[in-house]
Amino acid sequence: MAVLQPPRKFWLPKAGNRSDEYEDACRVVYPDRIGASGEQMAWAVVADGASESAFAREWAKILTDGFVSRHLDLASLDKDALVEWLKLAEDQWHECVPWDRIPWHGETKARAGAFAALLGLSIGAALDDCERLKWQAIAVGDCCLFVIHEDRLQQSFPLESADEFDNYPSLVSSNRSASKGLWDAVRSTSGECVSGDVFILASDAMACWFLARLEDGDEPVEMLMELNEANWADWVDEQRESGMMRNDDTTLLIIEIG
Amino acid sequence: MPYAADISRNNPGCFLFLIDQSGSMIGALGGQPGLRKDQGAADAVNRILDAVSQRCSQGMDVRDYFDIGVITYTTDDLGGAELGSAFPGTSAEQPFLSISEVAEIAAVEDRTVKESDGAGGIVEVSRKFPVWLEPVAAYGTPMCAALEAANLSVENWIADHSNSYPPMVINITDGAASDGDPEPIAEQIKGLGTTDGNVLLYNAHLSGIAATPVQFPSDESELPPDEYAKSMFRMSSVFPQPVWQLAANMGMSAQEGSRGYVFNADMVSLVQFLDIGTRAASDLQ
Repeated sequence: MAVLQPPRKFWLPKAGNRSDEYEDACRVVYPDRIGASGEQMAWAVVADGASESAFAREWAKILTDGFVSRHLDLASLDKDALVEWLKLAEDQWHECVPWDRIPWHGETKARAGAFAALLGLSIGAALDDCERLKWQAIAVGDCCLFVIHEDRLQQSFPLESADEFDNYPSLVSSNRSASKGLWDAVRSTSGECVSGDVFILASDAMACWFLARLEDGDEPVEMLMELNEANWADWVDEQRESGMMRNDDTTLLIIEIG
Repeated sequence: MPYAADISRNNPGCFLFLIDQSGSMIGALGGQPGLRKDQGAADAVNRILDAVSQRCSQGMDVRDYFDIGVITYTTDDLGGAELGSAFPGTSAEQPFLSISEVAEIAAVEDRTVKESDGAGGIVEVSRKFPVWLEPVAAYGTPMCAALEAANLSVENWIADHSNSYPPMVINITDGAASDGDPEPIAEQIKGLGTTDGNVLLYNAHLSGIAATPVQFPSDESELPPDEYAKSMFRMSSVFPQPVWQLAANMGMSAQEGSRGYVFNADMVSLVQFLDIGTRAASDLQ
């Protein structure tokens, strides 16, 4: 049976913004051991609420809370299942918006709905092999998953190079009428992992930094593995000030298979 | 790369509008008998301030990603320059308010508008329209004085924001300056800059005739044989690459070398012009 090391979660709001203005969200839920039965699975998710939309922080939180509590079958996900899953999230967002108190400048945005990029990962047992685990991931937008095997990047999902990041990623909307083309924007992938592998989930500024460093011949995996609660904020500030990392909400989740 | 600074509370952007309120602004805009130029300019500025406020709005708050000023210029009946500011408590010398303060002081009108109901029908709904600038048209066009005031206030702003995205100065006018040659002052303004690039000076020339506007020309030969148009063209900054690319992506005729100048602007091209000028800086993460 595989053992997952305690997840390491790091986050920092855009410089100049307050903590309560951080619009990413990140959740991870997993049992101590995976493999005893197919039902014991790990769920991890990162969302990046779009600042151009209203109540994006709330939307990112609703999506991530939903991902770890109302489990989607990522292996056989189809459009209808996703639409059904989103309905409850959309309703929750509508309920949390104080519609009768929104100032004039927030009205149009609130009516248009909130938007967020989403990356979700599940890790479960491989039925025929107790040494290996199966994982599935879905993504809409530019939050990224990096799968590390023997200290090397094995897979980058859904974006694969730093120049793929722009200001117009696909996003999940809280407004159903804006979600009509959502299914076309959903990306999915899967694979197997073994003890020693590492999953890195990151919102766009961190993900873009990771790929850019890799393309420059640096060792971003090594750099990220050295991060801890004490050095994280200073390290991000350094990257931002040196121009290596865009000043944006920054989220990093590291999961190691023991 | 210049013109790439992140916009944040720590490093806000800056828009300064210069509004010609001379007597000729009473004429019809773009050949539309029902729309005066001063009304068109006020409507366009109000729409852009509304749009920027909304871009910075997040939930219940407005985040201070921009400082904004609106300097108005006309003369008294003896021809002396009369400069003003559209925002109460500010002046032509110190015109800036943060965007949250701008949003706060808006006079908000409720208007009934027709909108799609999403199912093929039209419904009437009440929408809020914020107003900051009222139309005014009287006397002369002291553009040099207005540019001098802009030069001073932008220079002061840069002293406090040396790493910000460079300020944008957007001049909306319909006539030749009545107080001299504005080109040397325009050059001074364009010579100011932050670590992210030089100040951008854009000019919108309002038209009284129904003619196709010349939008974002890259060469004087694209203009009609009009010395004043050529002067305004030379006064206008060349669009930085991210700006002309954005304009081109939005379907406008912009290319490398295009300048922030529109000749014969009607209402549509004026709003597009202001939108391009402000959006390039304010597509927020």
